[in-house]
Amino acid sequence: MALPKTLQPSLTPDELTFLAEEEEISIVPLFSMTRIRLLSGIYGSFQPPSSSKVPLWLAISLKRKRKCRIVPPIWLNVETLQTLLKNEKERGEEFGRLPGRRFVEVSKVLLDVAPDDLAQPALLRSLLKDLREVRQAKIRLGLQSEGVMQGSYLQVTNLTPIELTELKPFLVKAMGMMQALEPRRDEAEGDE
Amino acid sequence: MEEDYFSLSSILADNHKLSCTFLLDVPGLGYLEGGSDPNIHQHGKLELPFWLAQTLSLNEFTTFPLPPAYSNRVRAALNASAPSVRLSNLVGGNGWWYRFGKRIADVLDDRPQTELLNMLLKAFINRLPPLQDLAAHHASTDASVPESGHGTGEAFREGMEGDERELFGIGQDSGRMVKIWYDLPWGRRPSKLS
Amino acid sequence: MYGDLALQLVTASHRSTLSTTPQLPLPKYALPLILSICLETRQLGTSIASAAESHGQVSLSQDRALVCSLTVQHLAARRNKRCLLAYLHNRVTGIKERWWDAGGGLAYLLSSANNAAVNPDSDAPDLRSALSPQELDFLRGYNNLMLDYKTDFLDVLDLTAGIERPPGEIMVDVRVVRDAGEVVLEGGERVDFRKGERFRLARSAVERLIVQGFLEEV
Repeated sequence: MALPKTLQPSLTPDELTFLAEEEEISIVPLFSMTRIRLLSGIYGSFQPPSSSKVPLWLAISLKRKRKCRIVPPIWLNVETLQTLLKNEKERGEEFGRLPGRRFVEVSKVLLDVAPDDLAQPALLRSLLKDLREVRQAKIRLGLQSEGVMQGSYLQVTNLTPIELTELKPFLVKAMGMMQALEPRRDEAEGDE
Repeated sequence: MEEDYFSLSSILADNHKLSCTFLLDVPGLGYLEGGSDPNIHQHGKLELPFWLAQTLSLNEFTTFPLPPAYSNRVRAALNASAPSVRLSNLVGGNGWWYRFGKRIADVLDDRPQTELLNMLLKAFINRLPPLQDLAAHHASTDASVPESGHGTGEAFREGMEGDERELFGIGQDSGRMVKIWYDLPWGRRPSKLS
Repeated sequence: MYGDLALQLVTASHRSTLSTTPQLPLPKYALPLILSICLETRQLGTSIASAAESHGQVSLSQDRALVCSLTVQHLAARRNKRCLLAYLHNRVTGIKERWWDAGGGLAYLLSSANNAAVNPDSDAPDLRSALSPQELDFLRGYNNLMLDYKTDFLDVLDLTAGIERPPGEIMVDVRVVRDAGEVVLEGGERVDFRKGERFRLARSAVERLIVQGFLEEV
């Protein structure tokens, strides 16, 4: 296949992060500039200390060059994450709704690139890790659910793209096998 | 578990042997046995690969019993504890227990077919959770060094048959891919792997 | 026993297609084995044909033992055919994959430099000697076909550009791992890539050299 082997099973986390970088985020520029027109839109004008909304990829690029501070999204703080974690644990088998589809990618990127703009980054990391683990455990349980056992479906409401990307190749093959081993129910349907 | 003409796994799975009994004399076919007799005799038994056995049986030149790999004894062991059964022993190293079973089931009558398929399906379903656990575990540690069997984890891993091994590899790879992404600071490339 | 040789072919092929990183080198085209299998198959064909001729229509429909015997030979021939075709098919797929992995660089793909990069330790054959003449023809034909197609819209999109990683920063820091000599980059500049030297260049300009192992990102 023309597609490289590493890209065949599903979208890679790198690709998903690339997509997540389209999300808009607020920055406080450390430089002045009038509005600029980029391919993806018009941004600015940049007048410190006012904040501006820009795509995440631009925010990261500017941050790396020390040209801005990043304003964390409203959900990226200890209290909110603690609440999310608590919710997740109390919900039983269902997955909690996370703030935004790109929650995982955006939080990781910001912790990596702009930890100094966040309050208690180490604690944030730890909470995010716990959250991930609780959800992973639910996925494992989900694989034993009735729907999967019949080879028909897996309930994945509220799973984020990163979690789905990890799950998909395994699930597809496993359910494929289950479907192949399904006893023939309809006798009228011969294929000889 | 495709039966694609070009699939190497399919071809290999079709090579599993069945113990076949001939229903008639066939002069000149003795070479199948590899012995000194140039002829096959009625009621003679020999092991034939599935790709021969299937058509010969459909045309009622031979019959075969359900191979030991799918016997009641195996069924009982699976019912007791599916993950403890070493499927890799049942069909030979590098064997394909599910594929072979399915191929056999396709040529059985309705009831034995349903029973066999049920056995395969139940076994697979019950072995799936430990398989997934193991794959997730190995995705996050460096599993390039094989551990000496301790606990059911490694014993299970050695008992996996062909498709289960593929499934394990897939789970391990995707888990590893995501883990690497998590661990590496965004924007840095992994060091060159040679 | 009929089909044993064919099984050898498939087993070896299956072993080499297990996916690994980096990709295992393509094994040498198993010409002797293939010739033997073809011979066996032709012999089966002759045997079936002559048996059919000498026994005539009546026997063929009534002599069950005869039909059984011919069926076995027929199945064996079909089995050989399937194994051969699967072998060839898998190799062709592997050849195409390797072409795409090399970013369409045919000369590089067939060179010994590529072999050193892909598997420095073993003495497996380099790609060129692993291919049969027909497969080499196929590779060249495929290469030409793709290049032809690609140039139609090269001004808008480079079909063979690397897509393993989504684009990041424009510039990239590289260190020269193997001498590449003087190279003319996209924009026309000439750069002399000597081992050990570092450069900061546009990623798009040096992507190819990174893929081919001359440069290493730092």
